[in-house]
Amino acid sequence: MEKTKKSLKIVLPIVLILISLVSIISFAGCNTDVGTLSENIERMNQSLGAYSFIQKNNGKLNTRDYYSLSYGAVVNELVESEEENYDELYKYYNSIFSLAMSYFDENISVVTGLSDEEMNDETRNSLNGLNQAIVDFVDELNPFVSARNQLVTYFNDYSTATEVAKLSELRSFKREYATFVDKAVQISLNLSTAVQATGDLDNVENVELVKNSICNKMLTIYHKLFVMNIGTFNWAESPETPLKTRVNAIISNLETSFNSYISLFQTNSGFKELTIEELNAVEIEAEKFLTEVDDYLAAIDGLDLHDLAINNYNDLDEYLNENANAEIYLLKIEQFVNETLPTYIARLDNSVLA
Amino acid sequence: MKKGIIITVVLVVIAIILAIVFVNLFKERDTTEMSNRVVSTVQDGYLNDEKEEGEFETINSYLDKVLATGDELTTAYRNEVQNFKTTYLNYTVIAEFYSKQIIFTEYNDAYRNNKSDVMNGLNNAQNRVNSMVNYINTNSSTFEGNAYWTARSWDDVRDYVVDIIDQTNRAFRGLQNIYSGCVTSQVANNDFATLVLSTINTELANVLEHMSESVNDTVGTMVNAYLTGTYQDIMTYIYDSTLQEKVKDIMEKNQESTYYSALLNGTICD
Repeated sequence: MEKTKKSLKIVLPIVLILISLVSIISFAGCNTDVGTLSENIERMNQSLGAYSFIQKNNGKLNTRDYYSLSYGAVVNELVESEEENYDELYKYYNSIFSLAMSYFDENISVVTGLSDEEMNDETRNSLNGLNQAIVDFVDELNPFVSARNQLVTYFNDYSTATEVAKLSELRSFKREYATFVDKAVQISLNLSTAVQATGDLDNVENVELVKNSICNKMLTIYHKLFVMNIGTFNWAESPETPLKTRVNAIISNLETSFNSYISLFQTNSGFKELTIEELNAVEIEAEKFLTEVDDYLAAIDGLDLHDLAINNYNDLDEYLNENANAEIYLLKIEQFVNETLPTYIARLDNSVLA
Repeated sequence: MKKGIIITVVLVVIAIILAIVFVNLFKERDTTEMSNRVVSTVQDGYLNDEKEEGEFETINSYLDKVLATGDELTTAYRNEVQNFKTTYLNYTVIAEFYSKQIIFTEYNDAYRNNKSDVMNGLNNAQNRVNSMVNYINTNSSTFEGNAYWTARSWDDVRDYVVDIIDQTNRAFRGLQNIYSGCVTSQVANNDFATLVLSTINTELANVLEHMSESVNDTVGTMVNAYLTGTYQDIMTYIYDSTLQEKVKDIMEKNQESTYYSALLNGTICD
């Protein structure tokens, strides 16, 4: 009995302290206000501005050139001459990073302009996600800068290295670059959520805001395949097989779609005057389309092109032994890229643009 | 001491109950098990019509031999064999359609309520197919060039056939409910898809009910029109207001709709 009392005297206070700590941490996480958010945005802009190789081109908002990144003279030349594997640094990474940050810069004022009275619970909660995404992005900046500097140094110092070695170095950089771009895309997606939470998207005066929000959510279609998937290894160097031909066709169609998408993203004049019913119809159709996007993203994850290319040498029949659904995922991706996506972009164009 | 043991036992029992509750609350809820079963049946099981020396090929060859026995076969049996032959082929196409969509589904009541029909239906049908294939292989030498015994063999296999159709229809009914209730794609999962799949199920039930009669291959017509290729009509339904009107009319008036025949004839989108 005495032993039990003694144990309780020690254990109980520890438990109470732990519960209090958890409560404090939980409540602390809920309290991102506009002031804190603005401070972190400033910190992010300063961090980006500190590196001369990351150049913001203010006159090129909503284009793939809103940001220009330099990879050193040697690699820059390879990128500009559209050398296979190197050109992706501009075509995919730079472009998607630019579009994500474009959306952010253009629309952040919708959130930072809110007063405390204007904010509801949903908006406050969304600020947490946005704030965390910005913090994560800033944290990723140093590793990215290190990887970039390492790339520059390697290509300067080892100009006589073999092509295999150079591609290996490029591959390492791409993986870090992919994470960096991914963090930027997460910021834009979280901002989109925050904008939605303000209720401004339900206002017929804000057709431009609606279009921007829909376009931003579509960025992940290209980001997932170009940057997070084939971008993490040198796809062009993988074995030539019928499977590779099919995937190359998907990539080609997606690149065509990406150009149409950028044009759509870019157009910010001549919006239709929609009625509330028409605006609702646009948003309902966007909702349906984004469900297709979810399935497409799931299919990309399910197919795992990295495993298919690296461990199975692009042999789909061999891969089916390991991943019985691979063909189904591939068909889903093909259907989405070849039909669903271009149809939707055309319809969105017709729905909102004059 | 005794009090301590009782308290310990009670605490252990409570802990076990809580553990069971929490495991069930937080265990992953997905449709993987069912979708994998469908896919494997289409890729490696009795619903694969391309596998060399697979169940489909074995049974199909046997059915052709039975049909070739001419007058040895009664009219009723001839109809049964023909109906099963066309139905089995239709099954493979329908199943392939489901297999492409069924892995993109969400876990909900429709899944919970229909999963067992799908799993048990496919399992039972596969078992009966295996038995039928075993019978065919065991007696293949008897059938060789012997029209009489080949025709008579239908007496032995028709029970397998009835079970295969019954159980596959059961699985397809479950799959159609799961498709309509769980497929996340709002492009693929729409009123037209539901109408096509449920009508096909109705027609499949008719085949079983009228096995001995000469039956139009309505299922085959619909399958070829709507469930092959890129499923264009289903995938573009949400943008096709004309088709939407027709579907609405059929859903309200059923067989009395002026568009119902066109649905069965595969021409509703024309």
